[in-house]
Amino acid sequence: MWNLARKLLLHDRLRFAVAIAGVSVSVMLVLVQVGLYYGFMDTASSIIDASKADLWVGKKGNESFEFATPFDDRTYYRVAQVPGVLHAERLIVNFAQFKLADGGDLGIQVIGVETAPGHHPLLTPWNVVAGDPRRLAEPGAIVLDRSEYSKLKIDRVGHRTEISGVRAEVVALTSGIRSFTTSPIIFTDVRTARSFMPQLGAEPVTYVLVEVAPGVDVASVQARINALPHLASYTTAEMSRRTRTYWSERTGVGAGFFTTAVLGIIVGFVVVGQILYSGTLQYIREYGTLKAMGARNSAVVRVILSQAMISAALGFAVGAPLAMAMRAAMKGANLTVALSPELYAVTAAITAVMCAFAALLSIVKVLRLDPASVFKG
Amino acid sequence: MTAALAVNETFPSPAPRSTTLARLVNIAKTYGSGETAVAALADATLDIRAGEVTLIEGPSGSGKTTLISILGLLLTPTAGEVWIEGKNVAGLGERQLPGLRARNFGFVFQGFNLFPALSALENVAIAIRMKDPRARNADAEARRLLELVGLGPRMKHLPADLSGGQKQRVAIARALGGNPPILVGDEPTAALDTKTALSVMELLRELASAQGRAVVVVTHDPRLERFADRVVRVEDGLIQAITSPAPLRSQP
Repeated sequence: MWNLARKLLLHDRLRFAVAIAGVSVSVMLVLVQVGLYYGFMDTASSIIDASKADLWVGKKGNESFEFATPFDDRTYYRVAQVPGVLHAERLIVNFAQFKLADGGDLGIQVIGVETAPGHHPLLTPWNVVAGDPRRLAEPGAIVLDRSEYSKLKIDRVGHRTEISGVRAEVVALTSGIRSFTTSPIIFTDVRTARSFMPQLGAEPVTYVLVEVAPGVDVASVQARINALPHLASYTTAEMSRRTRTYWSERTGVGAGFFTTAVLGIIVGFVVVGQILYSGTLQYIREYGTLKAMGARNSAVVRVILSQAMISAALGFAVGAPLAMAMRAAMKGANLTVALSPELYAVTAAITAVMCAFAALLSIVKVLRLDPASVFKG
Repeated sequence: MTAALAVNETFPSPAPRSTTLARLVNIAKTYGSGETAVAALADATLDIRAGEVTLIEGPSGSGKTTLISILGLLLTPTAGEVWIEGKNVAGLGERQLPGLRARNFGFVFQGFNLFPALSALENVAIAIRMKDPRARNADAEARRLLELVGLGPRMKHLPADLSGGQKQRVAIARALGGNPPILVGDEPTAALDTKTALSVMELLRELASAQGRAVVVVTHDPRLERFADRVVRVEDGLIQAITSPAPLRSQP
């Protein structure tokens, strides 16, 4: 059956090429669009995912990591004293203005972390590629990502500037830490962060990161924290999922990417369906002859399904490398296309199902084909 | 005329000569119903016997194609009985019929109906596999059948590279796949020149004489009568006459 299917497809090479092109474009669109979506989502939750905290504590009603309402330092102490909490750290997340070398200002996202010596912080800049991150504890010290060099108009570690009118110095560089918003991310110490955002009042805290004591059930600690007024706590996985969901659903970004992916599937479906159907019509007398001679419907259907699966396999074999090429091209534009083995596997399955459904019209045609019709002229 | 069969007598004979392989009894076929009903065939009774060539002649629209379609289990009669393998199969459903057709019939058509993308060998082999998905050595059987019809040297050729007569020989080899006892031809020589047509008919005659197959051929060409054991004349949906023309060839 495979041999017959392959030869029928290859007999008209131009038509076959069109079918493969259709499937390839479909595969590429699905991979790139879904990969872009997951890339954005990975970016949106990257700071949360990089933390070592068991629990994230914030104000009740916070919907996203970035746009969280701060509380005062007393709340931090209340959380730190909850039974089962081994260690708690302050985290400040807010926006500030970065003074550019040309005199202009650029909005940045400030992440204030605890840098007190003597303990392993639950959140700290990662992927450091230059400078000394230990200097982050110094007043005014900041760490930023090298991908933001051009946007921030800086070119070296040691660059000095002002953030919201306060002196700041770049002490280290990271690689691959990008913001989901358009504002570059700046890591700094909690105290420095507070100096960048005086409008938040005295000693603001956006989140408290909690490490649960060994042997203590995280859920029980979470319940105790949730019993405190105006607070809500989430495991790191829950916090990550909430942030992803916020950006995906509230901004419509998920619907946008998936709509394009679905359009890709529709394009592939239509192209393959049309090609298979015209091929079936071309060989309808031959299929009728086989049925007249006793071939069962299932045997003829297998030939058509085999053609669909060959189209799917070759289309995927061409489309997947195209998506990889697109990923490489987009990397230059600071866009992450997250192509995981799971995404390849799911896309391959979708492609197979798409081609199988595209073959339905042809299958119905041969199922309804009256073998006696071969005697009619 | 040259000998039509490249190989004979070594091929297994499907049935003893003169055995009745199929029997149509009082067959009627009406298309449509009510005022638009058209009686295509009425009260047709015919035996198909091993080793015989039966020609079915008649003008266009006389019911020839309906007759062989019912014989070949491709069409269900409105009334009457179709006896195959000792059973009346007229009322069987589409689930049982493919198996019966595969065991009993091979079909040859005016237009050959060969897959243009497949070689002669592949066209025959795929039909064998389609008839019986469990068939082993389909390629070997296809080779043997193509050698039988004299196409051994051209079995790797595509249909486009074969003459009309050669294509029809491929179609005959394909029809022989699975060793069916009855070959049904729907004007198999109509698209061929006279010399080639006679050559193809001689091959069909040999398949009946040498191998004991029943060959049933619909034709408009009276020159083919010399290959036949019986000629069935159909007009206006009725079998008007069944005659036995004097054969030009001696029977083995």
